[in-house]
Amino acid sequence: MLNLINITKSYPRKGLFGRGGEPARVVDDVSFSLQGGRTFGLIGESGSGKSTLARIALRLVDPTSGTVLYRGEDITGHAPSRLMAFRREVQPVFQSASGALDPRMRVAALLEQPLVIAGGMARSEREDRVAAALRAVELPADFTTRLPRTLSGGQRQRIGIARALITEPKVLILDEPVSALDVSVQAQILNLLKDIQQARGLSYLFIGHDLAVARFMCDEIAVLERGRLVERGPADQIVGSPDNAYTKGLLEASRWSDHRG
Amino acid sequence: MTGSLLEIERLSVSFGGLRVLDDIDLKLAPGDRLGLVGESGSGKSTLGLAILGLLVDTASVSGTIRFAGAALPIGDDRAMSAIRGGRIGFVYQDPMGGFSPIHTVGRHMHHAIAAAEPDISRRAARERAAALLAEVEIRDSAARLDDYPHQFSGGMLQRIMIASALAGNPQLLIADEPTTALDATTQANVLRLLDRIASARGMAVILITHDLGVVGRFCGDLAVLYCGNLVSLTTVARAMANPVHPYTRGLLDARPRLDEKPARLRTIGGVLPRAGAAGGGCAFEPRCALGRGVAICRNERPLLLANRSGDRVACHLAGAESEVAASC
Repeated sequence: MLNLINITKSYPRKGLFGRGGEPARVVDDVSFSLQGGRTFGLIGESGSGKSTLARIALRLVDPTSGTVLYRGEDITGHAPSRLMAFRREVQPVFQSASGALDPRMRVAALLEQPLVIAGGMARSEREDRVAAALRAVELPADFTTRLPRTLSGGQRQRIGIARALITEPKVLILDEPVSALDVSVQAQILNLLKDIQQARGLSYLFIGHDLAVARFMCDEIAVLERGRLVERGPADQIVGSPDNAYTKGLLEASRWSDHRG
Repeated sequence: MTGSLLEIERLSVSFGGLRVLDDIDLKLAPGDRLGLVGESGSGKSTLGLAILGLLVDTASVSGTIRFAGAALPIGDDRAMSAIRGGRIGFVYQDPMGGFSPIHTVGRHMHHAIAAAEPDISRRAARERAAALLAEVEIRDSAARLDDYPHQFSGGMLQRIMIASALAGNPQLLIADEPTTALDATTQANVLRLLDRIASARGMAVILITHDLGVVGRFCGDLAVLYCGNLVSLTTVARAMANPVHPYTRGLLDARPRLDEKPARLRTIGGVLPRAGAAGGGCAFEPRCALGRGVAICRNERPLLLANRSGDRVACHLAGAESEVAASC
C-alpha cells in the first residue's frame, strides 16, 4: 500500500549567528512498506524519529531525500492539489485527541469537517457517514451534539478514530494512539482498532514505544534508534527474542514495568 | 502496614456535594512503599493532594490524617506548607511544567532548600543543591546548577524534581504518576533510582499511578481505588499472583503482555461512573464480571473486610472468586 524508500530527513542546525553546522539527521535512510490489511509497527523512544516518519508517511513533511510510494505511485514531489485522493485514503489518528479536536465544535461538525473540506457531498450523505462512523467506534448516535470537553479521554480518542474513518480510508497512521490513556481504556481502544481493521481490511502504521502493546497490535515491528532502523522482523520474534542490543534494552525496560515479568 | 508514620482515618472529600473520596482508612509505616492505583477519576490524585494539604478551598474534608504522631494541620496553610516540602515531599507527572524556564536549576533547588531550611547560607545551600543533584545521578552536578531546564532531558528533569523534593529530608514522598510521561527505558531508570534513594534514606513512598505494572517491582503494598472507595488493600505480590477483587483482576488482565498475543485484550466493560453517582450498592457492580446483576452487589455497599491472608477487600463475592480460581 505505502512504501517509504531510503527516507532521510535532516534539519539545518542554526548557530547563534546563522552559521550552520552539520545538519541534524532525525531520520537516516529508513525503508519499510505497509502491506494491505496488515499492521506495521514503528517502535522507538522520544527522539527516535518515529513521529517525523509518521508525518512523512502522511505527506505532511517532505523528506530531505528518499521516495514515498502510495499504491505504486511516487507521490514524493506531488503538489497538494494532486494529493487529494491520497489525503482521503491515508488518515492519521494522533495521541492526543483532545489537542486535535476544536473545543468549540460539536461532534457532528468535527466528524463531517473532512467531508466538507473535500466538498461535493450532499448534506444527507454526510449525515449518513457521521452516523456510520459513530457506529464504527461504538458510540451512541446522540453523541453528535456533544462538545469535546464533555467526553472522557477514551471517548475523545474514539471520536479521533471516527474522524479518521469518515473519508473511508484504506490506511490509518496511528501515532501513539493509546499512550495517553488509562490501561483499562487502552485495552478497549486497541480491541476497537483491531475490529475496525478486520471489518474494513485497513492497513495500519502503528507508532509507539510500548513493546507489549506493539506485540498485540502488529504483524511486523521495526525498532528505531536515533533515526535509524536497528532491527525489524515479525512481532513475535522481535519481542520474543531480539538480536539487537538496543531492542534488548527496550525489552528489559518493558519487563521492569511488566507486572508478571 | 502497621501504621505510625501516616494514619488516615475516615477521610472523605467532597466538591460541591459530590463525594470524590469516601471514608478512606489507610496506614503507612516508615519506609513502606504503597502503590495507589485507579483509573482517571478514581480519586487517587485527590487523596495525594489531601495528604499534602493542597486541596482547593471549595473542597469539604472530614476525617483525620495523622503524620508522625500528630494530626496534620489541614486548613492551616502556613503550617501545612512547612510540612510539605519538608517532612513530606511531592513529585508529579509533568517535569517540564514543574520548572520555570527562566530560572536556572540551581535557583529552583535553592528555593526548595531555603523553604526547608530558611537560615541556610547561600554557599551551604549551593553545596547542598549539588549534593542532591549528585544523589539523583546528575553528572557534573555543581556545574549543572547554572544550566536552565531546557538544557536537560525529560528524564533528567524528573530526577531533578525528585532532588528538590528531597531537600527537606522527607520521611514520606508522594509521587503522582512520576513516570507516565516518560519512555519505557527512562521510566525504568527513574523507578530504579527512586528505589535506591528510598531504600538508602528509609523514606516511605506513595506511588500514585493508573498502571499496575509500574507498581509491580517498586511497591510492597497496593491500594486500589474505585470511584472514591478503597476497594482493595493487599500486598503487591498477592495482588499480582491472585487478585481477589474483580476490579484489580480487570486492571491486570487489561494490560497487554510481552509473553503472549491474545486475539483480543480482556477489558472492563463500561466506564467509570461520575463521582457520587453510585447508588446504595457496590460502585463497581454495573461493570463487574462477577457481580453484575447480583442482588446483594446491586443493593448493599460492600465493606472493606480482612480475609484469611490478612488482605482487606471490599467485595461481596471476593471469597467466591478465590474458590473459582483455586479450582482452575
